[in-house]
Amino acid sequence: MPTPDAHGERHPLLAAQEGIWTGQQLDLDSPAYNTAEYVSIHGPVDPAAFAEALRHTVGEVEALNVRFVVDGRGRPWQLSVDSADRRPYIADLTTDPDPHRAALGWMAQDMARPVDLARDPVFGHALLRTGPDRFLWYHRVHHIALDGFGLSLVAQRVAQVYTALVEGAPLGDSGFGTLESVRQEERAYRASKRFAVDRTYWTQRFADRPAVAGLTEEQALPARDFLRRTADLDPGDVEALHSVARDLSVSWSDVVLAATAAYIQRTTGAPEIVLSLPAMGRLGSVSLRVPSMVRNILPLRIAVDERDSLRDLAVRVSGEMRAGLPHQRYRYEQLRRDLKLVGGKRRLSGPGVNIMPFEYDLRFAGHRSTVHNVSAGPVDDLAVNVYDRAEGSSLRIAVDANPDLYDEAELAAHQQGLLELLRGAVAAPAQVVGGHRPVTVLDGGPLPRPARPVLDLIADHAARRGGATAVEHDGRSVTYAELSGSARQLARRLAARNVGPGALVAVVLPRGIDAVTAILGVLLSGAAYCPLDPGAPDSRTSALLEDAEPVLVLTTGAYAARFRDRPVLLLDAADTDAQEPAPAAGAPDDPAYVIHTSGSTGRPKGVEIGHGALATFVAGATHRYGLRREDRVLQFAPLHFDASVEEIFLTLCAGATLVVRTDDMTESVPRLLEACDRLRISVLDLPTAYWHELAYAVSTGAAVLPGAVRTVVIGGEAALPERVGRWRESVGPSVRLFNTYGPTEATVVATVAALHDPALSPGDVPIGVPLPGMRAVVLGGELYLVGAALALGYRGGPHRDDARFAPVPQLPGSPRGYRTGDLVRLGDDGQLRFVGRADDEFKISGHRVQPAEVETVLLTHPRIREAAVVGRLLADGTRRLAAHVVAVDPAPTAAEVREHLRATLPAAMVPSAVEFTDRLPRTGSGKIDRNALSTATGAVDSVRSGANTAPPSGSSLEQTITGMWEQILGAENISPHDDFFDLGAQSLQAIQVANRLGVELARDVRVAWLFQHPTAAELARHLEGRRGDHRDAPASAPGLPKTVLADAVLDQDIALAAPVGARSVPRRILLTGATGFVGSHLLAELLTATDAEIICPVRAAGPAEAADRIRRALTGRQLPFPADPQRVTAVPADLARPRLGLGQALFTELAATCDAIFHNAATVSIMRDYSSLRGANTESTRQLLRLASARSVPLHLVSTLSVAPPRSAVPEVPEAFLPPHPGLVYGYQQSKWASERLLEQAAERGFPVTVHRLGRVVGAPDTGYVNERDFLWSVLRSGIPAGILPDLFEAEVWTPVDYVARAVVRLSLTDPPPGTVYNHAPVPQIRLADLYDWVQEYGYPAKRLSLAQWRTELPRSADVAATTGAFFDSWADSGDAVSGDADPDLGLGHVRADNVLRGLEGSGISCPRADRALVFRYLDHCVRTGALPAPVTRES
Amino acid sequence: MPEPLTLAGFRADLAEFLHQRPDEVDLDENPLYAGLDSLRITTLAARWRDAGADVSFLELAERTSFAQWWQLLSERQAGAAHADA
Repeated sequence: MPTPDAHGERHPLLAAQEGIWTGQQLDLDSPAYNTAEYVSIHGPVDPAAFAEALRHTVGEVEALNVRFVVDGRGRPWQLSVDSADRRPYIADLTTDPDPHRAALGWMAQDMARPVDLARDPVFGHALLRTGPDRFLWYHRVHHIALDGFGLSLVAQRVAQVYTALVEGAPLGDSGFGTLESVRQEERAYRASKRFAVDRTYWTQRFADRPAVAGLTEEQALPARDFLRRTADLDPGDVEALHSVARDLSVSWSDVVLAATAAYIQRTTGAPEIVLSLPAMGRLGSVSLRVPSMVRNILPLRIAVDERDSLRDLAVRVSGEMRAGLPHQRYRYEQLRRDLKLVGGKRRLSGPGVNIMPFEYDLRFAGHRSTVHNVSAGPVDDLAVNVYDRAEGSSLRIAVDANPDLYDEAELAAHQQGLLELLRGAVAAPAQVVGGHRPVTVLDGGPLPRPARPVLDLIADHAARRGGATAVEHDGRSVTYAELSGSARQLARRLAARNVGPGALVAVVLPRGIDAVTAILGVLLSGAAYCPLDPGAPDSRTSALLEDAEPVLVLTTGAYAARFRDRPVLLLDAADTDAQEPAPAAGAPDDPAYVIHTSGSTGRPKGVEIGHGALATFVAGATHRYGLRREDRVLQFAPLHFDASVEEIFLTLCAGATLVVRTDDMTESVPRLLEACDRLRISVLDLPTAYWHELAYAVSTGAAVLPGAVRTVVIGGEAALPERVGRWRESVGPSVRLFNTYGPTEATVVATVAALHDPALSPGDVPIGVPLPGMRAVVLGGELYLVGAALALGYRGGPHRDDARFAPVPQLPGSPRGYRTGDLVRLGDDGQLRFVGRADDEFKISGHRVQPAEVETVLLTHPRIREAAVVGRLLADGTRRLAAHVVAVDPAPTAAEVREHLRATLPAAMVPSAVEFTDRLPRTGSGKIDRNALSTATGAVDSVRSGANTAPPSGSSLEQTITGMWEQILGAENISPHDDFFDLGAQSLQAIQVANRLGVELARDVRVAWLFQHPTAAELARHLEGRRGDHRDAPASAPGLPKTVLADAVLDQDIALAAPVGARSVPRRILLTGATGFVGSHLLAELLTATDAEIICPVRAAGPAEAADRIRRALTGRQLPFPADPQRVTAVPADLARPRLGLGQALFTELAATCDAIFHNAATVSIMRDYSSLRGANTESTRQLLRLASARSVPLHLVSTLSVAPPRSAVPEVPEAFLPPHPGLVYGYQQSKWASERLLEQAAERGFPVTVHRLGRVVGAPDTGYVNERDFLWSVLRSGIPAGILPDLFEAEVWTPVDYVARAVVRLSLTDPPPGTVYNHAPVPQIRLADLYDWVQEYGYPAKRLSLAQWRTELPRSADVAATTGAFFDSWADSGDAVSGDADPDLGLGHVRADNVLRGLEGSGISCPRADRALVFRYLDHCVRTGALPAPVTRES
Repeated sequence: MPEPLTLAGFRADLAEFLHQRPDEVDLDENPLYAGLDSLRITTLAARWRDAGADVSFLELAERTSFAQWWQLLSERQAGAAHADA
């Protein structure tokens, strides 16, 4: 008997194994890491020799003789144990109507069994005979032990050994190397230069962490199983594929990869695809001869352009492969850690493509064979597996999908789409394969008249209307003639200083007439001007000067001291300079001005605008705003903001009057408006942020809009719908309100919307359509601008953002465009809407958060006046979202604000910090200063800043969690809102924390929860939610695994949505487990007793298979199948999965339509432990309660009497819910107890639920049918032929299945009080001694032995009672030595059944007592079906 | 009879898979670092078996230079038909 040897060798895991181990920890119950194949052997096989070949080979393969244990620090180790005696399952299935199908069914069941790495062997074998000369050798191995290549090495050796055994030849040496050599090689690699080279390659290749496109928006943890669709590519297509590959000198796999990338691009529109490529990872390695797990995954990124052909892509893939393959030894897991792409929903690569060239031709004693893959491991998203079939004439393509992300139909569509693309593309490899991303183009139309240089226009006004007022400021004014004259004079002074075309002059002046004069003078000199803020700190000014490198600073004496080391021209100094005639003004491509904007790196960048662009903008905007020479325009913006360009040049080019505001005007909104009234301003050009204040003040009557104002232009940030609404209500459509949008790079304004348009619906704030001369192009949601008003570029050396100016190939002629980085949406009215900044997009827990979206919701709170939400990047790289709000009294609390947000936004978009402030920081132009906000150290961060006075934040549970993380990560001051994985946590560390938290909190903490709730606050909430208010603290329960107790808590949110109404006749009944022994009888009884449609969730690949399983379940037990097809609806399901694997739509539909639920399904197994049963048995109950809660429908749970404590503990089993007790030792009992416990809580919440506990359910007396899967019958069937029977218990409850079905249905449909428990034990228990006597009397003499003795003496014949044997083996494996005095006590005390008896009174339903005659009928059945040999001594 | 494999042919085969000119192929190069993968090596092995040199994927994959490949191929060439070109 294999037992872990405490003194066995212990080894660290290989990196690849660690990855698998980690994955398994995330879901211990998942069988997904079982990989398997089966070899179909075309010829006779000697089962004994085969078993011996397996035994021998397993003994040779180190990787199979292992268990995995965890040390005190949570680190995994591989332990050497001897597993060679593990016997294969050998069965002859040829009597089955469909042996192959039966074999596949067996494999599916075996695959579905999770492996406990600490206890179970990592492998399993079966030899299934499916035809006279056809055997299937099934070969399952946990992925932690072997990868696909390792599996093939083992398979080859088995074939070799078997052949030698049959032929009597020497077995020879396996040739396998040692695992230690592989470990050594890995250590050497990690210490090598090559490792560093490889790391550099990958971290650089993925430095920008490309977005990973999947075929679905969603992401999920790896599922427990997968969907698969397989198709063969016919030889013609394969030949075309090879031909394309040959022509391009690439590998055919490159062509398949290219087609896959093209398919994903076509489906998603993503410009770049990152595929996951499993790589053998063995070239030049000792592991070529060591069965082991070393497989790696290579991320392959491929840019796909919509003009690419298959040829283009295949060549690109090939190049990328050649570049990456030399670095293929670098671990994928390591790269994810390097790139901080661990945890949450961070992804390094997308769908997988697995090319398997290992066609192995195995011969078993000369007989040919074919290999079939059953599972290649878990599927994260989608995986394309390509198998090179024999002779290279055909390719098998199996597309696997994660069922949490794709349904069958979606998978089918993707598989077909991919194959169609592949076939089409290899037939026409030069044709474009990439998809066309939707391109939206908005054209602002031609300019109303040709754009004229601004200086010409202004000179015209000076010449024609020289006396008209050009500029007014604080009581002073200049006419156009005067302005023109002084500007020309300045130009001459500049020319004397050798300032002319190509030069840049810094203008450092406050707003005023002089500033306007200076600007015009510089332009007249032929030079460009660069306005700098006279109020800026010296450091900022010198940084800008260094960047712009002006030839001269134009300023006044007041500021001169700051520019001592630069050439300066003082505007207010005596005009002593020699004067030169000014040269001709600049050509269209000469720069007119340079204005700095903040760059993405934080370094300011100077945007160079040419004269042509300025002229284009002025022509377009003047037309759009309808500016006239009568207008008086307020000059509001400081000169270093480009809004000043709009104000100054639009006004002067129109011949209107520019009225420069004085500083005191902006002290308050009423004051500004009073001044505007006094100054007869007709056009107000305001920063949107300032206008927000103005709109508020006007709407409340605090200020009055002057009657002369006919046009208001706003811009600079997104206008708030709420303020626009106020404005429209209070001001009306008579004043034109233009909402403008435009980056500095497109000359002030690119698009304009008329918000006064009454056609706009409330709340809608478009940014409109492009100005004449401009086009807006929307690509993948992002706005590109094209047209004559684009900037020349950035001043100075190469800038990171230079690439933003690039041709737009989607437009004819590929014109130059500017990529704004702004996300927009085109409305049905043809106007654009601003969505947000592409780079403001803040990613938290894998969610994309647009601060603007959060702000909009904040502002819907009645007591919030202003709000700004910023993503904050802390010094240690932590990211968090912070809301800054200005509230009106009484201010809401932070919790209230978050609650308000939570009502509309997903959790990730709710800022972790809410800070109240009197005012938001604003930039000089009145915009919210987001930079200041994102670098601010707010109150919420005081803990992090290390202030000793600050108490640790968060609840005590949160503190425990953060404390644990601080310990593991070696970090300090982790806040409850920090995402562990953002802090650099790795999966292994998450596992350690989960373990330690489990110990610390004395409860189960699953690793997956840490991934699902990656902050302490979220995790604490989750843990608290699970604990609920249950009266029994889990820690107090004796001996019960913590998982059981945790699972036995009903979620707080499962509550009745509606009062329980009067029961009417059910029209639709949901019945789970309808294919089982009891379930099929329940189905038959429900069909008889009601007229309802019975919905049966069944494990099946599709509806047809589900229906077929139901039909066979009924007919196979001689139960009538209803003539009316409407009566039974079989739906494919998996009760262990979320929403029972029904999918959201069906789950919701059933919740809305079912009138009653019978939950009978359970995985009945006495050998499995709880972790592998909880999904199907316990969690399914939780899901069904959720389903029942929608309409408060009754739920009846079929449970088991085995949840009760044994006789030794209680003399009587009550018809009541049971507290936890030490008798709950087997997983099955635990899972059913936990289910009952959930119902108990549901009953307390008013759910109409009942529990039906069953004893041993035996066949109906009239048929004598025996459930062959029943444990007791399994014991009898293995013991009787050997003449020995074990002492199992003293007595037990037997109830025939037909009685059970009638009783359960009857009792459930009579509207019992909520929470009624029924013990279906209406007759005395049957004594085991009596049973064995009757068996003997039937003609089977049998010795009665203690269980241990019986087990020892039972022959180990391979084809009998596999489950029974396995059950007893599992006892031995678990260390519970089967000794005479430690037999499990399976007996119960007296079972009360008053509820049952009372409920069935007068119903005519009664339970027959099990007697000799009945037992004989069962034994007759066994003889008839061949389950037992005919008795020899019995007299007939 | 298939054409026997010559060093020139060997170089040409490698060059095709490495996207190089035959004279650029560095025989001291490690096949792993040259950017080959198991599928490409499988394909090469099949090609050379067709040319009469009985080599398996595994034998090629475990060698760490093209020179070692050629040595193996030379040993496995049937008869004395091959001459180092």
